[in-house]
Formats: sequence, C-alpha cells, structure tokens
Amino acid sequence: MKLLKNDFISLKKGDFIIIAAVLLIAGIAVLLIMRQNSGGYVKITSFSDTSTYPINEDRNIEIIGDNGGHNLVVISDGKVWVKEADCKNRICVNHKPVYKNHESIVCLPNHLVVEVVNNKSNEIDN
Amino acid sequence: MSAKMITRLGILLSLSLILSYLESLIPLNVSVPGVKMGLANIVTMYVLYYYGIKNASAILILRVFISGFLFSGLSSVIFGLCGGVLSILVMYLLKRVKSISVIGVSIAGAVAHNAGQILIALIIMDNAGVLYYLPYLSITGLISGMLVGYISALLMKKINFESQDIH
Repeated sequence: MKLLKNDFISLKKGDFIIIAAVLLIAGIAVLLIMRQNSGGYVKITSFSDTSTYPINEDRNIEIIGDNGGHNLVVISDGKVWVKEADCKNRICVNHKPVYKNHESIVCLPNHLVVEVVNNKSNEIDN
Repeated sequence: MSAKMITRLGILLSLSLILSYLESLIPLNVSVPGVKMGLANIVTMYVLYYYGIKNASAILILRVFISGFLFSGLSSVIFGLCGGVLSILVMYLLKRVKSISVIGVSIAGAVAHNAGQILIALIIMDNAGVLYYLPYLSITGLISGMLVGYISALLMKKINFESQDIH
C-alpha cells in the first residue's frame, strides 16, 4: 500500500475520466449490439398466407387459421405475443412475449407461426 | 543521435521483443481474438516518457515488424501496426494532459490499440460483425492497460535517474 500512496502511481482525476469513458464505450457498444439482436420484423405464417409487420409499430392482428381457428397476435413495445387463441392447449397464449431475432411462437392446432426476423424478405441472413 | 542513445534504444527494442515473445508463450484462454496483456507496451510507454514520441514510434514499429515475422505472421504485423500507431498517438496526446497519470495513459493506449485492430478488421473483412468484439476488447484493454500502466509507473519511478542526462 505504500507504493499506491506515492504521487506518481496513485490514480489521478483524469484517469477516472478515462476509465469512465472506456466503460461508457463498452456500455454503448453492448446496447447497440443488443438492439441489433432484436429482430426488426414479425413474420406471421398462418394456414392461408404469410405476412410481415414491423416490430416497432403497435398493432393487433386477427388471424383466422386452419379449421376456422382464431388467434389474436399483439405487437406492442417492440415485443410480440399471442393474446387470444381458441385452441385447446393454449401453449401459444402462455408463451412469453418474444422480441429477439429468430424467436418464435407456434400454435400447432391452428397452423400458426409467429417469428421475429431481421429482414422483411425471406432471405437467409448471415 | 549519440552512440549511447543508439545502444539504449537497441537494448529497449530487444527488451520489448522479449516481452512480446514471453507473451506469446502464455496462453490466454479467451474466445475473443486480440486479447493480450500488451507487456511490450511497458517499453513503449517508458521510451515515450523519457525519449519522446519519435523514438517510441521507431521502437514500436520495429518491434511489431520483427516480432510479427518471428513469432506470428504478416496479418499480425498489419493488425499490430494499426493498433500500435493509434495507441501511441493517443498516449502521446494524453501524456500532455496534467491530470492524467501513467496508468490513465496506459489504459487509453491499450483501448486505442484494440480499437485500431477492430478498425482494420472492419476494413479488411468488410463485415460489421467484428464490432461485436468492441465491448470485450475495451474491457480487457481496460484491465491489461491498468496492469501495464501500474508496472510502467513503478518502473519509471525506479529508473527516473536516466532522464537527467538525456533531456
């Protein structure tokens, strides 16, 4: 500890600013990466067709699935979840909201797949 | 440049080469490429503080070339040069700020070194994916920079008699 007390070796004010700046850069980079990881679009594949919606626009989507099955998909706060469904097992309704790229919610009885994707198109992203 | 000076810088260059070699012997089991201790930066810092930026740059560039071709390969020379030049510029500028100690200069230098490497990777690979390494490399740069800075500060305190007959 005697060495640490020496003027030449103890940290000065500017050093703490540098450490804070480095931590800030790391934090911002982590935030940017996390934002990039959350997909930009929601791809909903139902029995009849496929459609894509931006994940940052709030909306409710009514889907008539196979055998007249019915689902209500909600996009809100950058997340998507299935709010209502008339299937028996209710797995899709109990699924937690998804927002990261490649996360998905599936309702098997109604042939519904809700997937978070990076791109609007169906291209395979690298 | 006096013969004494040339000798000193030569010894310092070989010391930094030894430190580079020593470092390549110690395996750091980190999955992120580019993580290293940067022990050779102790020499760079020392030369920068006592013999000025010109000599420090000369030692740094020679060290990167020699150690690159001896111990690793061409790609490490390119990465090392880009990181090293950016690092020494940052260290030179921050050294002039009164409220920043050797440790702060070293931290900034280490992080700048890693940032320079990410920059060149960005240019060579043309893929923004390398930016994913930025948080890891800035944190490891912070830690290794602190360590190297502390050692450098310790050294400079012990060997500061030398500065008198040079400046």
